[in-house]
Amino acid sequence: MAHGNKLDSESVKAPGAKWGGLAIGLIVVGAGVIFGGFSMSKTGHGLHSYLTSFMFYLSIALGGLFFVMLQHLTRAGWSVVVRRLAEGFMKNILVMLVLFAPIFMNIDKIYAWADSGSHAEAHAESSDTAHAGGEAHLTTGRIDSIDDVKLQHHLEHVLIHKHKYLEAGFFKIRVGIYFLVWIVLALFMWKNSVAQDSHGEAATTIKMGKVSAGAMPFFALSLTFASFDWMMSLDYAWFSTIFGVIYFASGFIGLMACLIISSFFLQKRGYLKGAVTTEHYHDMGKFMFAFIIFWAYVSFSQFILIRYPNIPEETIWYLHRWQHEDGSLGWKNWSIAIPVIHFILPFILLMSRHVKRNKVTCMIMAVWMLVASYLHFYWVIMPTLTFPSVTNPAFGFNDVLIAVGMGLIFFGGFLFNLKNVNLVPVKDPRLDESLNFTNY
Amino acid sequence: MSDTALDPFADNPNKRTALVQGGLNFGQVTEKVCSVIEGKTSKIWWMCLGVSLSLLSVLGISIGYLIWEGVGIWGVNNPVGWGWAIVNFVFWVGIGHAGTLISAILFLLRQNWRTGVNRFAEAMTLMAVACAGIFPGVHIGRVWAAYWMFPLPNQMGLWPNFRSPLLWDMFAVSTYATVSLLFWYVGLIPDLATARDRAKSKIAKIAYGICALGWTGANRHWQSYERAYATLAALATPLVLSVHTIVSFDFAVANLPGWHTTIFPPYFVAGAVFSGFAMVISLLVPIRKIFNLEEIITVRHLENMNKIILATGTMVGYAYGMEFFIAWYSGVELEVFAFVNRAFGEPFGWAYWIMVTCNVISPQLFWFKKIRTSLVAMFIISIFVNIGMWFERFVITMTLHRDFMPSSWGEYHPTFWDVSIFVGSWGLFLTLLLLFLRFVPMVAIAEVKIVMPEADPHHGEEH
Repeated sequence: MAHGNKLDSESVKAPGAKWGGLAIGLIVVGAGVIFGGFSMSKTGHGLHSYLTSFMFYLSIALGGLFFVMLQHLTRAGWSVVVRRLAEGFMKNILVMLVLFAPIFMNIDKIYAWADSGSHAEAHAESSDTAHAGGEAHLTTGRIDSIDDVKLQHHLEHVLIHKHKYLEAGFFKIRVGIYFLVWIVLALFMWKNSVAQDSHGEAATTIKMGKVSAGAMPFFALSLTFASFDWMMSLDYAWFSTIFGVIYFASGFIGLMACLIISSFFLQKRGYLKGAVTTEHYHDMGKFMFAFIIFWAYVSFSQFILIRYPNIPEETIWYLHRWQHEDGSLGWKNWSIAIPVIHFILPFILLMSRHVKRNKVTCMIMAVWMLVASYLHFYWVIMPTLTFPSVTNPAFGFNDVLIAVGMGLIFFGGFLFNLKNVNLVPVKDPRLDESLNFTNY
Repeated sequence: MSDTALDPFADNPNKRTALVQGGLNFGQVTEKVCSVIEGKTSKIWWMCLGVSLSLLSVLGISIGYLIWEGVGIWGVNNPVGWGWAIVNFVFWVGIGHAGTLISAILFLLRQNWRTGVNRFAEAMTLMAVACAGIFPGVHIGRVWAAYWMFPLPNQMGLWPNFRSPLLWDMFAVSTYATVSLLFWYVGLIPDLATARDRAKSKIAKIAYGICALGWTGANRHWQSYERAYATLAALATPLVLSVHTIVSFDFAVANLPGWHTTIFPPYFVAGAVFSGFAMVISLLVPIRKIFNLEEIITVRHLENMNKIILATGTMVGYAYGMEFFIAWYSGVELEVFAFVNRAFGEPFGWAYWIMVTCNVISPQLFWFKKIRTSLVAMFIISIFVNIGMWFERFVITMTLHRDFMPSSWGEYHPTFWDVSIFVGSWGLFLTLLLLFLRFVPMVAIAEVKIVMPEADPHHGEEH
């Protein structure tokens, strides 16, 4: 094992106020850009696009939380030098809480189930004879927009059945629970990790390991149900048990990409000298590669297990993303492009160790994966814009503005989180191991 | 160092615990492992082999009668067209997942502790896959036409159904068995050479010599070896996932409530790893004691495996929960019925609770360090997990007894032959295990040495 790699202690110090000012600037500009994106969109489109960006950045913040917990849980040595950066993304869960506000205030505009409350009751009161006659019920909300009486009946049944779960009050309570779990965990990990920078006690590492283990089930459940509530319920008639796992996989890819990109540019600016080496880029690239395959695995599992039994209630989700009633292309080209850019091409390109060990190509692939991940979220969320009918894709500059604006806020949050701390956990007991490991 | 005592530094993050305990040096490691295959064959071994061979003959008789009489001797009926055979198949395939996970995935994750247990786990994998292979093989009715499962060109223009997951199974399992065997064998070569060089009898020398493929330990050999090993690890990793994914497709592609759910692939893989590790624990706890290998296969190794059991058991619990929640959330009456019947209905509600108790609740005891480092406790829990995982497949298969129409509902009762063929498959498993223990170094000697501190080129230098 190579010995003697030491930290350049000056280059791991964050510059404090400089980043604070920059962060605030980024956040203000980001908010303005989002606002610009909104003003260019129709209300419904703007909100849905906002939800797309929100779920994308949230997945990264949750990926950060998971990564930090996983490293403690497995007593990982290699990752210590990049853990603080992951903690910076993890702490952005607070930013995401603020960014959730527009969604929280517009539940009835975003979620089709939320504007049909009175509708469900009307259906419940109607008699069976009405069903037999195929007579339309008193209707409210978006469910009106469909002409197909059978489909309308089906959706009504579904709504009544899920009424207790998909209901604004309970939905809001769940929002509170998810954020509570994430914020408590993120702050615990953050506080202890930063505190260790000054006192360097090994006991802190042990404590974080124990808490990480115990907290994993809570993390898994909150992430799963958040993905059900905020994404899957957009098409409230549809369901898939693996949905949460796919969301988790996306988040981990996003986090790895962000770690690679942030390490690269921080090093460009003269930070983290000698801390993040080729070996770490290689490992992060491998981890990203592994989760690209995992993402494809779980996504394909969902697809094939819906395609093969061919049950209409379930295939409709893919059908909505494959054909369009008016004969236009609809989402078909997206459905072909997503597997190619999110799996096939990066799978081929990232297989070579040279691509992962070259910082520039590794960083380019990371940027690629972030874009691919965003487009994947867009493909999942946007077709439900006018649920129960499908909306044709209308990807435009407004979507880009909202995504970039939120990205600026997210990046601003990241800098703000790290502005007064060391960019590496300088007294972590396994730091030396991380600095000196080599891939074989 | 006494058996249950852990390195006092085990939890100290400042220092990695030595994997080999008791201050053994390279020579002593070789001595300990090789003495198992070099000593005189013990009476106990012969007795165990006798029992195993008796069980194996039960298998032979059962299969013979099955082929003579047909699958009508089993309890399968309409609507329960799949009975113990598929349960046993999935049970054994699942157990065959620990070995390759340890040797391939943990290798890629640089988990050095894998070296103490990988050889044994891989061998167990091969034995379990051999057992699994029996069930679909004899289940097809006309065993003599088993080769028709392969897509062989023939003058009748007949092909297997490429859309059937059972065919995919055949490809998946046979590929897995082949790669696992190669992987295991490549890892064995340096150790077989060691056995050859130490052998006293001529026959042993020749036999090990042939198997060692001319290994001399030259630099060049090591270089090729390491490259081959890493390549096989990378190839074996997707296979670990693919086999049980395809096995889960056997159920999940069917348009059947209780089977048709999208989480099946990763859920089955987690379950397979779970059951495989449990079997490794069940076997290693007594074996390391009997063969005096406690310093190489330490409590720390076992503890790590118990942690994996805890993690995968909890994942399986997550999948059970998701199935139930989505069954309700879907609003599909048949889904709701299937799950409620599975847990609370007649006639197999009790089996569901055996499954949950053994698979989800019992591994939760591993949260406590005392329990996951106690040999007795881990042995008992691992047996529970083995039972629970058999029942999991039983519960899933038995979903069949409640067909779509109540008029088609049926019951399932296993017959004597259902039981005998399962019991007999243990005979095959144990026979192979005993042969392995007697003739092959059960610990990867060369790999263990690589992770010992003495293997570091800077070992002993002052810094």
